[in-house]
Amino acid sequence: MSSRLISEVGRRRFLASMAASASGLIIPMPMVHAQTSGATSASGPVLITPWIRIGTDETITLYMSQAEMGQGTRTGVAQILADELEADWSRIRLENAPVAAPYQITIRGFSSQFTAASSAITLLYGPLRMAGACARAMLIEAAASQWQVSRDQCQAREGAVLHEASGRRMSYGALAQAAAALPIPREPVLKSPAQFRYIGKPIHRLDTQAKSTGKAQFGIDVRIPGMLNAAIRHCPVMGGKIVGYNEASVKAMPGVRTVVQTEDALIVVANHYWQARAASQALRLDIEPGPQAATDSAALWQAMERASTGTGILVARSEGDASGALKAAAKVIEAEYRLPYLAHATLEPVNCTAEVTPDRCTIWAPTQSPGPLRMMLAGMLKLPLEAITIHVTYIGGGFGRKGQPDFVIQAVLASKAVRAPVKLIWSREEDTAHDFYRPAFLGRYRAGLDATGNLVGLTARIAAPSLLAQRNPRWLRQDKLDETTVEGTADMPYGISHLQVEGVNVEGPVRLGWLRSIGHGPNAFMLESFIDEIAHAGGKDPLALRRHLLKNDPRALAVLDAVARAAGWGKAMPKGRALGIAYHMYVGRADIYRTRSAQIAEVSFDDSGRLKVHDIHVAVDCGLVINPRLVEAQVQGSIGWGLSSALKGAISFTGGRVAQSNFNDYPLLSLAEMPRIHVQLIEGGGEPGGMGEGTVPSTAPAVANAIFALTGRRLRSSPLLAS
Amino acid sequence: MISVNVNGRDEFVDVPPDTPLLWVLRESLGLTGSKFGCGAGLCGACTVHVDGQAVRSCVAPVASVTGRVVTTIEGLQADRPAGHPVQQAWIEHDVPQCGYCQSGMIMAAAALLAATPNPSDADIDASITNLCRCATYHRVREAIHTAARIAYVPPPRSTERTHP
Repeated sequence: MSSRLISEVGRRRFLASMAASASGLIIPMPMVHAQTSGATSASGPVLITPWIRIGTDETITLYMSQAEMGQGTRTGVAQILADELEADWSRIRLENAPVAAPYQITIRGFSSQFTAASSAITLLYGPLRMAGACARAMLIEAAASQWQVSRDQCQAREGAVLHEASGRRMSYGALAQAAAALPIPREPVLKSPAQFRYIGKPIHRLDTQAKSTGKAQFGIDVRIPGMLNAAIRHCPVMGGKIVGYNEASVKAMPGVRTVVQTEDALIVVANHYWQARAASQALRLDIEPGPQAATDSAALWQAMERASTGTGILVARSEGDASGALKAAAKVIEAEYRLPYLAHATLEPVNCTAEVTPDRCTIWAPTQSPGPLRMMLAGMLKLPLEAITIHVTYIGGGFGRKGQPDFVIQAVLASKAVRAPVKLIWSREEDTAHDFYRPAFLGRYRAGLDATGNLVGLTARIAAPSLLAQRNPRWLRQDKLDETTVEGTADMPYGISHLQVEGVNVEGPVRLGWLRSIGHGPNAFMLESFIDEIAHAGGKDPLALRRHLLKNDPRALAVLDAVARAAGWGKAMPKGRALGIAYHMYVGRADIYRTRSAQIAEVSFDDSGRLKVHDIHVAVDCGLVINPRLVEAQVQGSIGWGLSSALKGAISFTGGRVAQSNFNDYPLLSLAEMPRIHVQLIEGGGEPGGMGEGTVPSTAPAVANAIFALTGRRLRSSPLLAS
Repeated sequence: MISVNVNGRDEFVDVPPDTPLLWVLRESLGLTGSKFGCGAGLCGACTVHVDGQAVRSCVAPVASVTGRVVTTIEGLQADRPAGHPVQQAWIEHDVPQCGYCQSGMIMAAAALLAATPNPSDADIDASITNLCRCATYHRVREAIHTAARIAYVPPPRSTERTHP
């Protein structure tokens, strides 16, 4: 995208957000006052655009609409704003934005305030630059007017406006009042990339200090005067009901105030958390198990198999004549892949603090979805939107789990019942057993090769319970195709003339949710394993085959070549070691960005037959990098996340219940298992793409392909350590 | 009343003796830097020092620390304006992502360095068993090595030349 177009898109998004802000009336009172009476108020901080407030003490407050859950988004957002503003970085401080129209982002027609889909930096890059540039232009205008010189003779630099000809200088703090009274310019001049002061620089995160001293406040740390504490037990069987419990004895336990029954759970409210927890563990649930009482993993897999050979086959992509090509092929290879349900296992269990009064509802929560939550709670409590306040805390791991509203609703119901603020904390066992799971996947891949081993056609049929049917049915295609079932395969970048990709929605009882990298994770495992199988079956080098299939995508070739060089692909390996490669293009939701990456894993087995992943080389092109330090951290962490799922992650079912409960049976990757990770960032151009998820998908197939290279054994299901 | 010494202060709390130390710290004393992750001693987010040893406070009854010295993340940097060497290293490397496990991770690293001032990678593998869902392990390892260098005090040289 050209820079002209970038600024145009950014301008439109920014102006739309300004129009939506209804002249800033949504801004909390002190700021509205400062903004609308700037001329008469002698001092005090003023708001210049919904994102920036400048204090007479030179403090620059930036309003953060996105939740910080480790991805570093708030540091990145601050860099973009501060850059165009020409702020002094040492004066920057961050504050939560309220839930309000100017902070909405839009993905595929859904406009709200939320943090998801690795979208913030991509969607906000333009609007934030415009906001910063508008504020800078207003500050320059204010200075020029005061000095009675042309604004073209003035320039902004690190928190002040300068008039070089006369050597005059005024700080932003001194100019803020006058600047705020000026109209917001429609066409401010954006910086050229050469003028960037903070964008692209490896600046330290703004939250490191707080997170290294125990001072960062997560949802679980919230304390409100008069607050009670709650623990929860859900009906353990999917779709079952709690029809009774030992009410009298639990209510008589120390500190217990009451027990609140919801549709599928009992919430024990007590003075202290430990009392609530002890009482919740003493609950003896009398349940009506319902239709899933006998459901287990074997039955769920049988349903997947039936659906994948049934009548509900939906064509996601069709090019050429794949079945004809396979019929005419000299050789056909087939593979079936199975990937399990996965849990989010955020280290901070889901929790929420709610204070509900007859006319107000205030929430403190580690939530990714303050916008949708506010709407929902207003409807649920029959209160006007303005009566609902949501304070977003630091999130101790979100990964999609904390975009769900369930735990917030529970805290609200509990607070309403006891007429006091309530903090609800789920136990780890409840968190593991009552998640919104990543769906299981069953993929059948077939490929035709000609006599010289060249790929001539490929078909893929991918069956999974439909995430969208449960969570967002409006995003299903008209024929009910769920794009999250096939993403990563249907949108594969490989040039294959005869290609057919099909999706199948499987009916099932498991509650599903968005989990970091969504359908890309399982699809990349299947496709990249299968490309490796095709290479070996045709006697081709796995890197060379990918290069051939991507020959029209120079950005893909660049990451492949970079990672191959770094890992020494093709060189003789020490005995007992082998390399595996995988490529993935992560297409953001609604195609808002395309992040390309390639990974090479080096593996061995020790004397006791235990797999060791030694090194992972990775090259990434996510477009413009706002902060290489942050992007590198995301790449390192997301590879560890991908490896954790690949090696160990699996949720299974027995008797209609989730079989796992805590980190003993839903284990996570440990430090000792973390490979060395070698990151190369390759900026292929264009606006910044998302980096929260893009490098998750290719880790698992790179490792599985390395295991094949080493042992000749093809692992087609995960967790790999179980195979 | 149970007496506990936390971060150099004697505190008296009115809780049953089997209450886990973690909840005494978080609720009775308002020290929320130590986190609840699993309640079973599996993840280490609740790690504190008891007499200088790393202890998982979610499974340590408060009665078990009576008469002993408890240090939490809030007390780690006492008397050190720049922070504990582990914290300095953490900041230099920008280790935390979501940050939820990091108090426990830092306490575990500080205990390791107190016992093993210059740990090898194998020492780190063996000692740091805290879980990080963001998988910041790569930087945890680097930062522990950096902390060891920051904390390193060169031994006095026997043939020190005195200034004339």
